[in-house]
Amino acid sequence: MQSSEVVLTVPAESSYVSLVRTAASAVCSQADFTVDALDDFRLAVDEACALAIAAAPEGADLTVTFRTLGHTVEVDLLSPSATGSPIGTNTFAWTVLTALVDSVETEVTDDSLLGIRLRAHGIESVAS
Amino acid sequence: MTTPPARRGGWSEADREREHELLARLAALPPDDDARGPIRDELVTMHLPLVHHLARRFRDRGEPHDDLVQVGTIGLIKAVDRFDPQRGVEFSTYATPTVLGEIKRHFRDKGWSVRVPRRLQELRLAITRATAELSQDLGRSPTVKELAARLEVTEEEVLEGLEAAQSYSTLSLDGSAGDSDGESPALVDTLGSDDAALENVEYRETLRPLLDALPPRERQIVLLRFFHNKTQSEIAAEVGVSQMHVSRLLVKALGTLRGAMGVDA
Repeated sequence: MQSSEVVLTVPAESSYVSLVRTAASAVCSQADFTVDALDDFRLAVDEACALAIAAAPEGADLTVTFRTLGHTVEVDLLSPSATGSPIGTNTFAWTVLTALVDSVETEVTDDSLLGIRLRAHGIESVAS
Repeated sequence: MTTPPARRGGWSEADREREHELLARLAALPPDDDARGPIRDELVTMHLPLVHHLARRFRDRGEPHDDLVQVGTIGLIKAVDRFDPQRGVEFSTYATPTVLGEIKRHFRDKGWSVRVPRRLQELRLAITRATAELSQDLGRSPTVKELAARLEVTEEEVLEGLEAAQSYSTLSLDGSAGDSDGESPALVDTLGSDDAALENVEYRETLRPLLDALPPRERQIVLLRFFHNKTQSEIAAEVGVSQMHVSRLLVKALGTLRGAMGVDA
């Protein structure tokens, strides 16, 4: 099965989110996402970036790692968190994320890095 | 409500108490009472920094800051007039979408949009058509690869076209769908049946008025997608617009909600 990894490090600022989103489109397109799933994934990445950026202190970086295994795409967002608090699973943002992708995980590491992991999948494409 | 409303830097406890007192007094007065004027003025003045703050988000978009503050203030005045302290949300939380709505409407009325090259506009139209056709044929939404094959363009071009669709002006499409001036059907009428779906969301008391402030179609799409777990294609069929349009409205609505809630809600 084909696997690959793409890593993108950008300043944790909203003006860089479009770059992350564009990368997400390209990666998902490779993994044969339907347009529905691709749009959903982009929206989820948007939302996750917004959460990471809101928590990040000034001048911080956001590292985004896309991993593809066959038709499954996993994205890890990792950035410093000023508050050190995880994302509540009863927030609207969480509702949005879980509705958009197959699975969402989040954690805050011992050194106060906020991690958000999203996973979604494409299909066995019929076009050659 | 323990949520800190968006941006009230510099407010003392006394300011906040004054705000609550004024809002309560205003709510108690009949709509035509002369005593409303001074209270209204003071409330509007108190919240002008909020309007300035929100207007700054739109800097560098070719409109003078002062103009944006002016139209934003109209939104603020509407919010003062319509606010109901019984709802249990902070006034600034309630006012934010109304102010943003007025500012955005200003851009819309001026026909502002991201300039999309003609080639991309044509591609966008072709993709919309092909997406609908392929969805019919396949019984699901197509992949980028399938769209590229059908349109005889590269996958990269399809991605470009999808991207262009996001920045395409919503002017002609949303103009008729009711406007974001808050004149939408009453909250209880539209959201009553969604209470169960909203049940598990923290701050749903904050979320409700924000959802209510969305244009009706955006609100409907947000509820269908996030609380009824319909796919974008299913929603497109149900609402009678293209999948791309659903996607665009979702992006727009989430942006509005995020801005209005403060991101951590």
